[in-house]
Parts: sequence; structure tokens; C-alpha cells
Amino acid sequence: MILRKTLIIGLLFTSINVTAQGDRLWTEQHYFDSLSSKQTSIWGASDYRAQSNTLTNQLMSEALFQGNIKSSSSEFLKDLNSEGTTRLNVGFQGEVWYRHVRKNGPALLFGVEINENLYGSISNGLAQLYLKGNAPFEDQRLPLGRSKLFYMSDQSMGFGLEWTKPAVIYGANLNLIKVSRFQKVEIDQPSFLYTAPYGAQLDVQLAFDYHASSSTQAKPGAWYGTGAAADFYLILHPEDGKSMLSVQAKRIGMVHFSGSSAYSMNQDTVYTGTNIDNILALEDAITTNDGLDSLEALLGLEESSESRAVALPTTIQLDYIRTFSEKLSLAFQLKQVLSFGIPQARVGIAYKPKKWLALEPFFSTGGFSVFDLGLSASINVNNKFRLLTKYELLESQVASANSTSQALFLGGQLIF
Amino acid sequence: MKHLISYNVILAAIFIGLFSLSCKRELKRPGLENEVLTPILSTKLTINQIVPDSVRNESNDGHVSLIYRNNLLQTGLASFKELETRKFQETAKLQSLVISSRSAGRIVTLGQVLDETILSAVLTHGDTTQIPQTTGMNYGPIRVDGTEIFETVTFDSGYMDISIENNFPTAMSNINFEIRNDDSVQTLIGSDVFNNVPVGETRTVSLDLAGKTVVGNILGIITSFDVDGTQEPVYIDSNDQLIVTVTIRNSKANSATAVFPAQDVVSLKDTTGMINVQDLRLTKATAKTGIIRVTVVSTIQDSMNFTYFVPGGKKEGIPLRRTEVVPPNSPETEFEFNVDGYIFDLTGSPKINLYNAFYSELTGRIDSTGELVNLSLNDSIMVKVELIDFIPQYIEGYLGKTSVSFGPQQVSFELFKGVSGGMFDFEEVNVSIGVENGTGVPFSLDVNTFNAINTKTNNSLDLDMSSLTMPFSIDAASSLGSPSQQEWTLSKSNSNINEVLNVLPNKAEVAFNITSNPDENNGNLSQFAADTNTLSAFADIEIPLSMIAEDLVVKDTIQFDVRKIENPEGIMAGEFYIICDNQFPFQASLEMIFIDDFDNVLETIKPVELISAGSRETPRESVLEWPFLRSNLDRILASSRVVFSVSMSTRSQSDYQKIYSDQAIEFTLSSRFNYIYESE
Repeated sequence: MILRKTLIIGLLFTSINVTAQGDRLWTEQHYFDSLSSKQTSIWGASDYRAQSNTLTNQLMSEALFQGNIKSSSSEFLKDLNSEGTTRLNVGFQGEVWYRHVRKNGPALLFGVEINENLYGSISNGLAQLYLKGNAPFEDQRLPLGRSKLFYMSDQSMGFGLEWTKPAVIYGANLNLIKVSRFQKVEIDQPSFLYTAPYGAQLDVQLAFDYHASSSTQAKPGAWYGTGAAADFYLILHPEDGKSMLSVQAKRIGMVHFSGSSAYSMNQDTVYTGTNIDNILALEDAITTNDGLDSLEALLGLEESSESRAVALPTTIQLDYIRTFSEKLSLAFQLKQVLSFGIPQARVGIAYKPKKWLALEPFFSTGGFSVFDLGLSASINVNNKFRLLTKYELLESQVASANSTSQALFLGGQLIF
Repeated sequence: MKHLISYNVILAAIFIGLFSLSCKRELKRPGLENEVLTPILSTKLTINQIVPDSVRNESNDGHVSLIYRNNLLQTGLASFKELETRKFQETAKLQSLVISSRSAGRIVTLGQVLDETILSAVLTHGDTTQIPQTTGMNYGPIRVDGTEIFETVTFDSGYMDISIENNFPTAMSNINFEIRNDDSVQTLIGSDVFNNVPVGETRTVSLDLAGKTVVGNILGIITSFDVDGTQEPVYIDSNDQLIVTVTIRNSKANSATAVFPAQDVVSLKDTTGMINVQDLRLTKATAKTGIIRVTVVSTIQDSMNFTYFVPGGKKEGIPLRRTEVVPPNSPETEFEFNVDGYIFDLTGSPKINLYNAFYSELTGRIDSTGELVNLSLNDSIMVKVELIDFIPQYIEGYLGKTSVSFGPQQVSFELFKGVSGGMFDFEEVNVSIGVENGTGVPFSLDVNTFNAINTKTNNSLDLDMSSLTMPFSIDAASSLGSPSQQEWTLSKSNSNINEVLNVLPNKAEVAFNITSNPDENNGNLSQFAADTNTLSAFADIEIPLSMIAEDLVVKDTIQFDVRKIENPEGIMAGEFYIICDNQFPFQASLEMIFIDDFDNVLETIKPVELISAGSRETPRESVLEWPFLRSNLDRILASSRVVFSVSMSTRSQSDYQKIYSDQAIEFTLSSRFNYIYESE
């Protein structure tokens, strides 16, 4: 009781996977073989993730932690097929939720979350151009289109209801979102850059939309957009307790921005440098060169400030848990962030040498990455206190130049 | 490896531990290094840009020729001497002094006469009695006051009229009288006699005042007179009057202290001749600038209004007239009249002098002031008139024979201004020495020297003009707007012009002799000259661009403003490319020298590759490369000017290469360089 009445400060962690109620349930089943759906609990989780199918861990670590990307770290991009797609997902998340079980009626959920996420699905050409410049791709046509980048930093407060039935658990929660930062770029399919031999000319076709919030206010207190997102989940767990199927839809919602900046351009331009009508009057030509405003007009860049609503990237996730014995459990996960990446499949086998300990090697493929290995470890103290970590830093530590994703998850639960 | 593992673990731990702070971090662009390949500038250079319109000619097939006019000499009206007038100086005495006609009267009563004569014994006031004839009486003196008119006058001419109106009851006769000055010696002015003055009538006699001096107070003395008497008794009234009136009329004073009426005291009309005009015979001149200075010295003790009038000097149709005031007894008063823009008739009209003169009038006048002023015909004024700084803007007449030498002097020769070295051979060169004469005067011109000079190489060569006959005769212009022009042509066949042009002259030393009116036809007064019309000598050069060139070096310097390069600090090592598509039949090497404000050479870009010669039909592409380090770039960025130097040679050194207007060379300057973006 004392423990129940003791406030436990949960660890505040981040999760790019947007840990939701459904994740809590399949996690309990998979790692602890025991659902806490009939008990009041509080849990927290945090997650850091930097995933890409092309960008190496070394490059992303330099970008994220050192602030400088070494030229050698991006050298591999020169050999990348420019026609391909680079998927990118970098983010941090933290959450704390309280679940209150009532004798009658659904359990009540209350929680707060912090999210900072970058989703990207961009052409390899754009990644090459950004990270290496155009010179390595002389006399090549770099595709820039089919590219999307979505970045949002937000804080939310949520409320939910969860119903527990004999073989079914389902619930929903609604989060009210305050956005501190927002940027979104979309470059359409036909966009490309062709650099002629010796840079004699640049042939650019560019059709893009860029939308961004302001960034003048300090980030923690900034409030540039307001929105709402709902999570839905359905858990099927036959009474034999040997399997579980979880279906989730996370972050279905919109954010509204008022007065954000928007730029758009649709232009096919051949740039040959500053054109000088008469090189013999060079001094006059330079002094009469067009200013930036004129250049923007030349490129067809349109700037506007308008209100707009933006749909949040929604994640659809399916988890299947098969418990073979008290010591062995299989988890299969299929996940898709709509509009970004490709479906991700994850398979993990949890081995429980002790009742209080579970170890799980797992691998995943697809999504924003290619193929990742990881190891989970969990501790369960009398079904009162649970701790779970998912360690996906191994590849970046062992072969950061040859691996492409890294992630770390840490979560804890206190059951009353 | 261990280090790497620890590194990432620590990073992750830090991240997780600082999660609560993570939301404070901004997602910022990381620093990175790009390899950039970009065009910087592009341009297309045609022969139309290389050779400006003003010196370019194009035939029907597009073949381009250079046509260049180099001015050798330009002279105009300013070469003529400044025109001056003869200094007109004249001293003039007063021509006349008019004294106003004035009268003064005096009344003598019968009672006064009775008191002074024996008649008082027989005539008593109030009686009616017969007046007896009485002779040999006298009376006087009678005083007459004329000081309101003058104090003293010495008359040059004039008369004094003495009138007697007899209102006594008896006639009077044989009245002998004298007029004397009422001065200390009572100088006699004159005397005369009234033979008879009947009752109720008036009689007048006149005294000639010429040469007489009269003072303001005079005396009339009747030295003897007779009373005729009456036949019948008459009433004797002692108040009956004899009225005596003295009038001075038609008088002109030689000198006087008097109140003078307004009158002209000086009037001069003269024709002023011009000097220092050699054999010029000018009939008309318009003053661009000029001053007429009039100096007046006056002994007259009265203010004098002085008027200077030139009826033949007009501006906008209004003759030159100036009126000034000369103070009394002025030792020297100077007046200056600006005559800018005045057109002067120099024929001397109305006193015809034909040329080099103008007519003027001087008038001196005094006003009536009511004051007594002492004037004398011995008083005088001295007047000096001179024309100063008279620079004509237009003249007519015969403009004289004048020989003027110009030079030796150096004139700029701009045709090869940008060419600093090399050799060329033009297939054809034509040079014309020409003269344009905007004045209405014939000239002869001798070209003594024409020496082409290259001051950079110190090479020079005289132009051989022996095939031309000198002096050149230059016709007069038919009118102001129709200059005459004549040319004398040299070519490769009759001169050494090709060799002269190969000196690449930037200067030409020329010397001329020019003579106006070489035939001295001074009877021709229809010549004209205006300061806007000139006599100019020039060299017209026509060079069809068909040439052989070898190592022809063209240089130009332009300002180089580093501030126009944005964010140069991010640029590291790289390479510049100059990509050329050349249609000209020249191959060329390129050099760019970057210098600072003190002409120190900071960096030199000299690609080893050449720009290949192309042709009108087939342009040739060349790529010139120049690798650079950051240090090279820093030196370029520190420079303020860049000297472009192009060395060109024709594709063939034996066949002339023609240049057409549709030929061009396209340049693109691009660069490949590493660019470091600093993290935000």
C-alpha cells in the first residue's frame, strides 16, 4: 500500500514508435506473461531512434551528436543509386501515463507526452545533393522528387478509456497537442538537377512546397500550432493465454497552424551563372546584377503566410504474440507509418530464464531501415515493478559506417 | 572499437538522462562539406560588342570593317585675336550757356520827379493848371534789382531792353539815360535816349550786352530829359507813375554765376575705329563677351547727366544706350557697360567707314536746380571710350590672312587602346586625312608631321604622305550650317600605313601649318566665322577585318569588388573552369592578374590550355582549367582589380582571316570547389 501511495517518478524516455496503450499490453504479454489490465498502474517510457535505409549510423551520429558530418562519412553516398529512396526517421519521445481501474466501467487513462520527430522519404538524389553537393554527380541527372520531410516538436496531454473483456481489450485515448516547431517539405516527382560537364550549366526542375512554423519563441514555451490526435487499439487474447493479437492505430489527428510561413515553387530553370550581356562592360554588369528579390521572382518562388491544417503521420501496427512456454515467447510485429517508409516487420523471441527476467533477441526489416538487430531485456519484480529496455545500438557501435539504424528504448511500470 | 562502444553508450545515456532537456534543443542543420560545381557567370562576346557601333561598319555579307576617326586638330574663332577699339578720347568745352530771359521793373511817381526838379515851383498836387515846357532836367539814379536771375554774367551775346511807360499828364522827350552796374565803380553797361514818350504810351530802347559784364543790381540814371508841357490846364496828381522796365533777352553767357535753365551743354558724335585687327576688315561682330568703358573728367560745377548711345550696337533689336550722372567738378568718373550678346554694325554707319568702326554719340546735360551756379564756357569735360575684352562669337567681313602653326603636339590614338603587343597584318587599310571647315574662310593646310607613337613600347614611325600634294586647299563653308569637307586618301599601296598601324600607336604626334585667306582676297567682305564652328583635321581609318595576327595582346583592367561574393569563407580548394565556344578564327591564351590598390600583384590565373580557334560555321569548344587552394582564393579576395590579358593569334599565319558580325565566342566561368557549411 505504501508503495501504491508512493509517487514514483517514472523515467522519462522517448520513443519514436509512439508507445501507446496497445504496446503496453503486448509488451506485458510478451515479456512478462501477465497482463495488468485489471490493476491500476503508472508507467513511463522514453525512446530515441535514428533510422534510415541508406544513411549510416556514423553519419547520423555525427549529425545528431557532433553537429558536423565528416566528408568521409558521407562518401558512400557517391555510389548510391540516385533513383532510389532514402527513408529517414529520427526522433525522441517521452511519456508518462496513469491508468486507473474502476470496478465498473472502463479504466481511465491520463498521460502526458513529448514528441520530437523527423520523418523523411526522400529521393537518394536529394540526399546526395544535400550531403555531398552536386559536383560528384557531374553530367548526371539527380532526381529530387518524391521527397517528403516532416518535422514536428510537440507536447501533448491525453485522456483515454479502456475496456477489458474476457478475451478482448480495447480502448482509445485522445491527446491535445501543442506544437513548438514544425517544418514540412514536399518535392514533387519531376524535380531534378542536372549538372552539365564542368558545371557549364545547371538544369533544375523543382516543384516544391515548404511549410514551417515560426521559430522565434524559445522552444519549450513556443505554441505555434494546436491539434488533437487519437489512438485506437484492440487486443484479442484467447483465454488459453498462449496468443495475443494487437491492432493499433496511433496518432490519427490534425494540427492547425495560424499564420505559418509557406513557400512554393514550380520552375524549370537552366542556370548558367550571372549572365553578363557585355563582358567588356563587366563593372556595370555586376553593379546592375539582380538582387535576391528578383532572383526569387525569377525562380518563381511564391511566399505566403496562411492558416492551414496538417495531418499527423499515422501509424498502423499489428502485433502477434505466441507464447510457447513459460520460458519462450515469440513476437511478430508489422507496422507502417502512413505516407512514409515502407512496412516494417519485427520478429523477437523472448527467453525467460527466470520468472523475473526476460531476454529477447530481435530483428526488424523494412520501415525506415533495412535490417536491424536488437536485444531486449526486462525485469519483473513480483508483477509490481517492471523495467524494460530495447537495445538497438549494437550495430552502430560495432560497425557504424556499415549499419544504418540505431535506437534505444527504456520503459518502466509500477503496478498498484 | 571499445572506444566506439563507450562513445555511443555515453551518448545514448546522456540523451536519455537529459531527456527532459531534449525538448529544448533545436533541430539544427549540421555542418557538412559539399563539393559544389556551379556556373558563376556566362557571357557571349560578339564582334559587335568588341567593336562599338561608332567604329564598326558591316557589309551586306556581314563582313566587318573598323571605321575610326581620330581627331588631329580642332580650332575655331578663339584663335583670332581679341578685338579692340581705338581708344576714343576727346575733351569738349561747354558749347553754350543759356541764361533765362527775365525782367525787372521800377516805378517813379510824379511827386518824386517834382521833388527832384524845378517843376515843384510851378506844380502843386491838387491843382489844375497848365504844365509849362521845361528842358534840361535830370533824374536818378533808379535802382533795379536782378539778383534773382544772376549775380554776375559776362555775356557772350544778348540784349537789355529798357522800356518807359509814361503815365504822367505830359509827354516827355530827349530822355538820355545810362545803365550802370551798381558796384563800387558803377561800371557803365550802356546808354541811349528816348526821343519822345507821349502821354499814356510806352517806348523801348535796347542795349547790346555782348562782351558786357552785368551784376545783379544795376542803376538807371536819366542824365537829361525835357517835359513837353500842356496847352491846357491839367489836374496835377503827384501819384501819377512812370514805369521803367529792364529786360535781358536772347542772352548766352560766357561765364556766369546764375540760375541756369536745363540745357545740353555737351554733344559729341563720332565713329570709333578698331585697332590691332591687322588686315581684318570686319563689318559685323556679335560680342560673346566685352565691355565698353567710358571715363569722364568734368570741370563743371554742376551735376551732369551723361548719355552714351551706340545706335549700331543692338541686342534683341534695342540699341545700346546708357545714362549716368557725372558729379560736379569730377576729377575722373568711370562707367562700364557690358555688351555681351550685342551685335555691332562695324561699318561705322551712319558715318560710313565700311569696316572696323562703330558710331556712337555722347551727350552731357545739366538740369535746372534753381540754385546759383558758376559756369563758364571755359569749363570742359574729357571723355575716354574704349572697348575691353571684346571676344566675338560671330564676325563678318574679310577675316584676314593669318598663318598659325599647331604642334608638334600629341593626340590620343584610341583605335588600339586595348592592344598592348603583338603583330598583325591587315589585308587592306585605307586612311584619309580630312579637314572640315565650318567657317566662311578659305584655308590652306600643311601637315608637317604625322608620327605614330606607342608610348608603352617607345616605338614610333612617321606616316609617309609623300604621295599627297600639300598644302591642302580648304574651301570656305557656304553657310554656318554647311561646312566644307575635303579628304586626301592613303592606302597600303601609296603609303606605309600598315607598318604605322603595326606600331600599335596610342599617340600620334602631329604638326600643322594653317593659313587663312591664302589668296588675300580682301575685297571679299562676305566671310564669316562663329565660335561654334571649327576648323578640324582628322584621320579617317577604314580597316576591313581581314587579317593575320600573331600574339596580339589585349588588356583591360576592371574593378573587382569582393563584397559581391556571398559567404566566401565557406569556399575551400577547388578549380575554376572557363568553357569557351569560339567562332572566331583566333586561338588565344588567357591570363588574369589580380592586384590590390597599390598595384601589387596578389594572384595570377593563367590556365595552360588555349582557347582553340573556331570558324564561322563550326565553333570550337575549349575548357581552361585552373586549380586553386584556399590560399589562392584568399589572395583573390584581397584584390581590388583584375587585369585581363588575352593573347590572340589567327588560325593561319599566311591566309587573311575575315571577321563577320555573326561570329561570337561564348564564355562560361564555372567552379568546382569544396564548400563547408558551418552548423547552425
